[in-house]
Amino acid sequence: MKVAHNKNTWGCAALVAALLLSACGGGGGGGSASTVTPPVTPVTPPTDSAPGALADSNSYDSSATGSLTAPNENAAVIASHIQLNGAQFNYTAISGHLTATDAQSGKAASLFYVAYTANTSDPAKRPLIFFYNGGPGSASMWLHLGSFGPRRLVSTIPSASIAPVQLVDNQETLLGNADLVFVDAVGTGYSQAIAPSSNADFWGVDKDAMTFRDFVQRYLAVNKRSASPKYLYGESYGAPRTAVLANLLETAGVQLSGVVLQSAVMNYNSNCGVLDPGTVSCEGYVPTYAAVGAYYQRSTPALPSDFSGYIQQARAFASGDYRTAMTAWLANKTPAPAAVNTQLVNFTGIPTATWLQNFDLGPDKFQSNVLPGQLVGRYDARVSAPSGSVLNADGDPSLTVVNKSFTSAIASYLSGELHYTARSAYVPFADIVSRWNFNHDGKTLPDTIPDLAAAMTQNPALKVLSLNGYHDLATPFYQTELDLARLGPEPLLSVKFYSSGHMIYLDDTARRAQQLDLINFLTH
Amino acid sequence: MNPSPLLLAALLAMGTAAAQTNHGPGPYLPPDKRTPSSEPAASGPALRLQALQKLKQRFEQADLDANGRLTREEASKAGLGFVVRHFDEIDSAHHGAVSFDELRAYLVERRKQARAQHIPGNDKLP
Repeated sequence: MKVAHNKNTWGCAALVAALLLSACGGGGGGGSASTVTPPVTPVTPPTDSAPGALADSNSYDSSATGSLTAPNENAAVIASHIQLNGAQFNYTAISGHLTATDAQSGKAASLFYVAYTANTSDPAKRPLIFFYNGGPGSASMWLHLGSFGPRRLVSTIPSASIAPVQLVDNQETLLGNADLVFVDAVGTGYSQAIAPSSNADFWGVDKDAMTFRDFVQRYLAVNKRSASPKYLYGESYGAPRTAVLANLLETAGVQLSGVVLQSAVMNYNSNCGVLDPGTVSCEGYVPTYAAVGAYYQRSTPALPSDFSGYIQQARAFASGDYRTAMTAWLANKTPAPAAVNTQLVNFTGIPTATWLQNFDLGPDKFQSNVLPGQLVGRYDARVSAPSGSVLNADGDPSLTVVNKSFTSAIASYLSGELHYTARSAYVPFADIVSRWNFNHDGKTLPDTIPDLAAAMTQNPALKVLSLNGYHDLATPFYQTELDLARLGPEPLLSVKFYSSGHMIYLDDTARRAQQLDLINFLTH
Repeated sequence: MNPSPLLLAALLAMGTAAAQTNHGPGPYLPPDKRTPSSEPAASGPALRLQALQKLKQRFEQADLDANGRLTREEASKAGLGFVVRHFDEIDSAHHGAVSFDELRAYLVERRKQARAQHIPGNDKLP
């Protein structure tokens, strides 16, 4: 491993360190609300005497003007292990920064990452997966602590209750099959632009993807991994980022083995949920509405005997009678035929009167209309809470039940288990979306299917795996199917569905199924 | 009655605080960015053309002397590692420089060969 060990030269306060570690290790910090806002004044890193620990002397700034003057490529390098299938599994956790430099412009950013590498004899040939979340503005915390890393935060989704903040050895980790690198975008986590650039310079579809390209190239060079099969794994906005990034990497001469698009929003112009009502058809949402209707037994029949057949019926309706009626409604508010409204009632239980008033019912209205007196989750519509409940504080009970646990767990995990500290707090979410430049390829909102097509044109061996949750009201599975179908028949593209939400892996059953599908994807 | 500057400042601060919404990890567009393209989304042959157009743009940016051909050096300088890596295969006529048409022909041939090796399974898109 070619990452510099950073010997801790801070004064030794072993007792303080021991107390801090015992408070932070494993169990986490208990979900304090104050962890959401990063402190304004630099925090003094606690002394950490663990071998390989790093007290990074930098303070990272996530604001638009953030501009790092003294970047470093140091990392905490920690020998660790978990109990996996009843046996001890050893690995190394590496947490630190690499400098991603655009060779053309010279602009650079210091990206924070956490890499998990198994201690195998031939690491140069081991598959390598780069993970990142979306937003834009989300750090990779969700995938990092929720999905396939070696340690996982306990989740009780779809229960409408806040789970205890508890990290466990992840039996669904992919570390047995590949090395895993979790990367944070500029302005999130501990990632920051390097002077003279500032963070906002990287807040756009193209600049962001270029920075990830430069990071991947830097990681491969520093760690001598260019021979490894390389995979990208992006969730939500991370999926269009993946399409743009895959094309940039192929053009740069970095051949990928595969890309995973989880809960994707490949084309912002086709997702009615991110646009104003009445702008585009919500046909991509109709099968999700039907799935949620059936989950709450609001559909007719209340319990479809053949769920796949029922969903297939909803797909056919969405791209058939619904689309025809919606085209006329969007053009000149022609009321939908009674049979179309009846079918929508049968799928959802939402009364005819509501459809007559809101034929183009978007997911936000669906959230508060599908169950009387309740709000269902946007990220996972199976989670619901009574109107006015504290669980609806974020406008989404499925976010509220997990948000604070993830936010507090990542902070305590970084210092307590990965032994990385900086003079500022980790930024799990940065509200930068209003500053984001969504322009791409001459459109004001990105359509990244052409980028994926360009990557596949350059690399005909590129495998593509699309993962979707049936109950995700943010990135509906059928819209993703419609977007990907534009590619035409692609023998190396597969699409999978799970009974879960946007963060599919938060459901224990879905995560187990996902792990099997991913291992199959990596090995075939 | 005019609101006091203090009250104004407080209201502004509240406005800012309200804007700091945690949308979580999912996609969100602020109201002023909800302007979808009116162009229909390309698919099939039109999409493949659009994908090639993206590559052509990079090719033309790299062609500093605008002679329609890239030398290995031009490709390398512009970060076109793909062209550099496959230069000899693309330059089948051994000109020492490649045109976009030669690059396209290479890509089409490579894709044809790769497709001949794969048999679609049951689990794929139609």
